[in-house]
Amino acid sequence: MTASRPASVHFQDIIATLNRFWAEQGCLILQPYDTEKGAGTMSPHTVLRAIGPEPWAVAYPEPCRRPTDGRYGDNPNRAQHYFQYQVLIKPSPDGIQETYLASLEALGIRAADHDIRFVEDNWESPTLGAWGVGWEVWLDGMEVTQFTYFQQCGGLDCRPVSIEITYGLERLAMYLQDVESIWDLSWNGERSYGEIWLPFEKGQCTYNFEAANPERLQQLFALYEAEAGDLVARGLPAPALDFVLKCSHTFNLLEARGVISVTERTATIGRIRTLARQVAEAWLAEREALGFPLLAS
Amino acid sequence: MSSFLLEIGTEELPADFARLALPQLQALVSRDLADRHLQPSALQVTGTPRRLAVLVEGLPAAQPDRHEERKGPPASQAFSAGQPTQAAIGFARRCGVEPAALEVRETPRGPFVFARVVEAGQPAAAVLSELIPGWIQALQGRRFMRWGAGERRFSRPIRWLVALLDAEVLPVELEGCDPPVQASAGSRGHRLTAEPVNIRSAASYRDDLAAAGVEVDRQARADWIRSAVHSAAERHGARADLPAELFDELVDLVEAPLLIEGRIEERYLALPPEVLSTVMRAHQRYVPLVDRQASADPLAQHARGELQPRFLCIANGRPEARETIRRGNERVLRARLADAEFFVSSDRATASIDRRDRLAQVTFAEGLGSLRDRVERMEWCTDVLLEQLRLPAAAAGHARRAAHLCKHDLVSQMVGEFPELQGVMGGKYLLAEGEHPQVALAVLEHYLPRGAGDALPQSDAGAVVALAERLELLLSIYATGERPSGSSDPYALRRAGNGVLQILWDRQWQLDLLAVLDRGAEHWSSLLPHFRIDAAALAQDLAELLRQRLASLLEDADAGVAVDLVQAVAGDSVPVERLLRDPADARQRVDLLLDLRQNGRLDAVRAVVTRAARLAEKADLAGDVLGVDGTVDQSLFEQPSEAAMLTVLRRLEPLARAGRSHSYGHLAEALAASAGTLAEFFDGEQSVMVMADDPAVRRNRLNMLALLRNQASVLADFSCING
Repeated sequence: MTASRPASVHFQDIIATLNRFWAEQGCLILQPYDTEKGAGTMSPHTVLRAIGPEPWAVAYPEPCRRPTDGRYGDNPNRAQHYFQYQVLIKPSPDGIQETYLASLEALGIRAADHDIRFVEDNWESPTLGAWGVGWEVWLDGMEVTQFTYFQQCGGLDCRPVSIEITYGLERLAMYLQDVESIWDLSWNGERSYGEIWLPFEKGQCTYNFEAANPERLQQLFALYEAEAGDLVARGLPAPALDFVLKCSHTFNLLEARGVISVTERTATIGRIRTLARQVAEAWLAEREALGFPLLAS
Repeated sequence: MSSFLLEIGTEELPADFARLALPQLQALVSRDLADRHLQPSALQVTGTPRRLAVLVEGLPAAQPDRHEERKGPPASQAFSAGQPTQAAIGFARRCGVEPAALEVRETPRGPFVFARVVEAGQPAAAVLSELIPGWIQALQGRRFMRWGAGERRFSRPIRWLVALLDAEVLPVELEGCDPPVQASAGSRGHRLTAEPVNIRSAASYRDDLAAAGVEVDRQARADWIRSAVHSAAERHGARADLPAELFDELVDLVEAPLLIEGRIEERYLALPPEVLSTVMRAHQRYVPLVDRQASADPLAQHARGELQPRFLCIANGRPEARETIRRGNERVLRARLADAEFFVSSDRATASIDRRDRLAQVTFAEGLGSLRDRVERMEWCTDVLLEQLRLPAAAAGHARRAAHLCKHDLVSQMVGEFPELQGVMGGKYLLAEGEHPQVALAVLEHYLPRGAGDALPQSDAGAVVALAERLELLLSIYATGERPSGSSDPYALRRAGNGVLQILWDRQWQLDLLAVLDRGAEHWSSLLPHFRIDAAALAQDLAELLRQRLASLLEDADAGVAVDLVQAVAGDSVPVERLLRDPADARQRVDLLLDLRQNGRLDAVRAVVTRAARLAEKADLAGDVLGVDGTVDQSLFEQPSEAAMLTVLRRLEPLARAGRSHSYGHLAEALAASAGTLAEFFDGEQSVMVMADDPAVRRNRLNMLALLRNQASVLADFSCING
């Protein structure tokens, strides 16, 4: 590596470096949103703000939960809880790929020393009624980032189009720190990732795969779904989104319990998507009623 | 003569679009240049992940002038006392010539005034500038996108445009791009070459880009990659496992290929070869190296002796970075294989039969119970199929056992992670547990064919379970009321229907599908009372789906079967029973007709049958009557040609009644051979007037023609066949 490598690539420093980098690009630096979610996209700072004509530029780290990815902490590459670093800019600017490559350089990854490629990967969130096209970014064959030009969100066409950049923080950190296991990552030079997160990981996996009660989860799903439906009907998109996210997470838990087949999946996802569409429409209506205030700024 | 360059500069294009856009560009540009009379001496299209380019050589500087002669008013009105009239002056003005230049010429309608008009050809630059936006607009691909605040749609954002006629920049602006894109001489090189690249002239394009680290010639990249991969494989005494799709993708994933050879730790060769190659090819786009002595056993438990502990990777980086790139890729593969190893060993800790039990906890679909319920219905279908198919007892036993176990791997960790390995893992786990290899193979094969062009089951047991799997899906999803419509077929029911037919055709099994559907519908309506299934309607709807699939598959068949032959065998005029009581039969008849057509013998048969059929429309004989006795009355004959006709009909009758594959060829021959007799009947010395005055005689003659038509219809509805 070269002299441009920053002094430290501890996990918390990577987040700090990205915060600094994207702040300099004019992004708001926000904090994680407080509801369980499978991806940074599901935060309202992305999924709602990508809708409508108002400009937006934001960056934030986001903890994600994917129950089926859990391996009781036994697997060096997988965890049911991990972090993404999420950037969303609307409208998508020219030269965004070059800006992204500069962010890697800020982390100490100089393009000339590697094979960095943008390989087609179209993203679709059937539950959010959202899709976009873009790439996964390969760093010497390792997928470290997702790039997506949002085309639809909540079933609505995105005009203008947002660009979403999602860094897989653990993968990047493992590469930068040259360690073979998530759990060995250094968080700050003193404590390891494993010391912080492993105690939760094992218990959460036991819950996800064994202790979670499928009948109760089914009931919860139905309750959340009903709540979301009522909130949409009352024109309250923000809390309605929270309950859509809870539906989504509950569905993921049901999947982890192995009680949903491929076929059943399709039907349940359809139910969540219907709600997500209604939330999107309600949000757009709410912003429109306010006269799209961010257009003025 | 000039050279012309168009380069559409983009963010990284999907590999398939970078490839599929090229023939489109080629066709558009060559068509438009020909239309505009700008015929070049050479036209080449090429591309990389970041650009599509058209290179034209030997382009005329301008369109040729066009000489045209326009006809004006009659000479009598054009001149008065030798002077041009207003009519002549106006005509000359419209043609852009002096009145004095008008000529008078004789025409069949008398003397007229003519003007010679020269339309000056446009300079090539002007024509090209006008055409370029249309070419870009006309390109098509899947999943086009918008970007920024623009409304333009393309595969990925267009960021620059180079349009050069020799060294002259053509003024072109692309509407709807955000930010706007105007043509210039400014291109961009490899991502690792930061500086913008100035293209000096159209002719120097390839060199200018090469200096900026880009091999823009797609063919040159393809040749380089192929030879690099093959010599590496050669060096290791192996064969490169490089299917055409992967190869194409590799060519369009790099602007400057670099071969990287990586190692796989030996321990991972304990994994099944499909696991390694799936990870390598599908997930990482690596080229696996297959051992020369590989057994290619689909049930192989480990990759030792099958695959080499190496992979090839085509990178897009600098040679100086080779070591870092190799280490990075090895590391990624190691992590993925470590995952796979973890899954396989934890799967092996559980017996497959226990996994089958766990299927009871997985919902199949709303109202259709669990996956175990689905498996039980598949077992029922397997039994029903075996009753008809009469396979050897051993194969039947293997099929039953395989049907019982076939879905166990759906709850294995490995398939959870690598869904494309469903069946493969299931079969291998079973074999390792001591199941009969034919059972394991049938489990592995019961997913085949996965789609159009995929392999079919090679074992009888595999084919039976594959049929059962698809029939179960069709019956169950149809039972819920769901139907495929338009582009919406979320349960891939059409593909399931195709699979049923493809398997039956491939194995040449005679199966009465209608009987199977009828029994299935009855069984389903008793199993799933909550759907209030009307069994007859369910069976009928499924028959209709399969009928459509049959016609559509025949049309798509690689033999390139003409639409009219498909209509003749499986068109709307053909009763569904005729097709589904034995779908293999329909296929054989289409193949026979195709064969006859290719040998130039179909027309003779068609001519005989259509001539008879045209008149036979006036007969009142039912379409299914094949027999002479009771239909034709010899006592009414007036001419020997009628007796000759009867002889033909008697010869055809048993062939038509046999209605089985081996008799179709003979039936067709006999029909063709009857051409002379029929000609004699209609036109010969002893010909008869079919529409005789005596109603009994007329009816008798019409009946003979109708019989001929009916006997021929056993083969096909000849009225659908084009001459």
